[in-house]
Amino acid sequence: MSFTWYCLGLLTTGSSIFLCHFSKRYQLNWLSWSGLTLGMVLILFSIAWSMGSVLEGVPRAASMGLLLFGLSGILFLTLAFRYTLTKRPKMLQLEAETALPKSVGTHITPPKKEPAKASFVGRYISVGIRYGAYISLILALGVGLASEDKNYESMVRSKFKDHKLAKVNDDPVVFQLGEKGEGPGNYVLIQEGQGYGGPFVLGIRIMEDGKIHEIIPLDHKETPAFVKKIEDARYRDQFIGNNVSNDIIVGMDINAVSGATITTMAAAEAIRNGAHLAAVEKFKLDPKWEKVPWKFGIDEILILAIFVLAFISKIYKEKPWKYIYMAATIAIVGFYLNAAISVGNIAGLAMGYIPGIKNHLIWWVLVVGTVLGIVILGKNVYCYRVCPFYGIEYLLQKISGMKLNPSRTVLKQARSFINFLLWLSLMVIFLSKHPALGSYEPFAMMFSLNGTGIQWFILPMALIGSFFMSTFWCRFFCPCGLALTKMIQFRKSALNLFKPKK
Amino acid sequence: MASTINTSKSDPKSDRNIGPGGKWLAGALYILTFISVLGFIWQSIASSILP
Repeated sequence: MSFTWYCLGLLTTGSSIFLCHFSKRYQLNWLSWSGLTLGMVLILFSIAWSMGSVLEGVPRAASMGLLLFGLSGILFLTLAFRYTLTKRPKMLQLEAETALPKSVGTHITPPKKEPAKASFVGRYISVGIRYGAYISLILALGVGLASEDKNYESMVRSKFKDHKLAKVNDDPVVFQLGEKGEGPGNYVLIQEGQGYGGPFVLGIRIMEDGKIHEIIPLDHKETPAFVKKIEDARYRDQFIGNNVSNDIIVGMDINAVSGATITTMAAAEAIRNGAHLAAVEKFKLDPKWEKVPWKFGIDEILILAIFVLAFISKIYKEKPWKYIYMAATIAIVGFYLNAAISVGNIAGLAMGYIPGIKNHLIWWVLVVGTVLGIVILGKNVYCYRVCPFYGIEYLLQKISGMKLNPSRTVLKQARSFINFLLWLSLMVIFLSKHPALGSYEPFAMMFSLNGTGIQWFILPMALIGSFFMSTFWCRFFCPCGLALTKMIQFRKSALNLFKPKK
Repeated sequence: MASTINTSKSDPKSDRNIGPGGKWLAGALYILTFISVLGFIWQSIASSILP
């Protein structure tokens, strides 16, 4: 902690010295002074806040501090600098002095080097690495799909350690808890659902009275933050006490959890299917329950409209439509529905994790629509159009007016690094069969403030980076954008194969 | 098309605005974000794949 204060002291002193020098160079008025001071104080405060939060083990608070105070500090500082540099006159006596370092600066700038041509061996190594990466991904996908690790018995046993467990049915899988014939029937029926991240397993505890007594989450591949949100909303409690023959329809009998709609709908579907199976097979009831209607409301209409408009170039290129469309994507796809596509969605498609179209039309429009757009038309209509995070980046860029770029060396390496990050994230997803584990995009954090651990540091870094650099996240880090770009390249290569050679 | 494939090319328009300080700042932000992303993936590997 004392080291933190030492660093802060150094930073405060450095900032004050810089401010003194700056004020000697420009005729600062009250507006410049207030903007610069406020900006610096906010940035220093955000550093103190974040370091304190990290030391206390609360990364979420650290991230929030960095975002709220750091980003607004940078904003004040940038606006104050822009105002001072363009509107305030320079001090006359210092103008002559500034001329010398400028000429020296141009003198010492190293001459631009011609990019070295890759050697013959180097080219082979790079091709080898590329194909090695593709082969390893295919192998990881195969290994992941081949390793079935659904041991329902051990899942249920881990939840009921003190009970005797006996499997009484195979399809659907049903376990009986306790001794047979002892007291009222006590059954756990296993059902699977298709969530946002992939399949999840639920245990539905049904007793002889034909009522649901407990919903037991046994296994899932959802983003941990979403699961926490559902648990905090006590979503499972809504099912308890329901008769197995009830309709159990979300929107009518059950309330969905806002911001985690797909997961809650999928869970309800699994529970409903399980309860109705028990009603028919165990309790010999006639299936009189209502059929689940197609989920097609205002949300689906809005997403369909946004996706269709993405194909019209006038909408996303010409002002003022461009800004209206961008605001709509941020508000609807981002904050309202939190449905931004991640690399986990694309990897999930490869693994066959596809939720039903009846209940998850939004997912189908965005994910399947984007992939079909690439396969059929060869166009990526998602990036730079529908993606709400791009809208945020664009907005930050407009505010800052800065277009920084790292050095050429970093830029050159960045291309390999983003390929490496995509490969690493796909390997994690394929081997763990858990799309959320490899999806490092900060979209869910940005639009619903859900995140875990280190994830909380990615969002402020992405936003601050986008403030200074044009499309910082999209260019340097977005695995989803790169995956879609790779799909376009594959399509092109595949089409070239079938083109008649001249 | 996502511009991720264009990272090696520098935008001449933006280059005019970059001083050495700007390049350092951009580089530092890039490296910090890269470390955060690697940290997240490592956290995922540690929590799921490793025993």
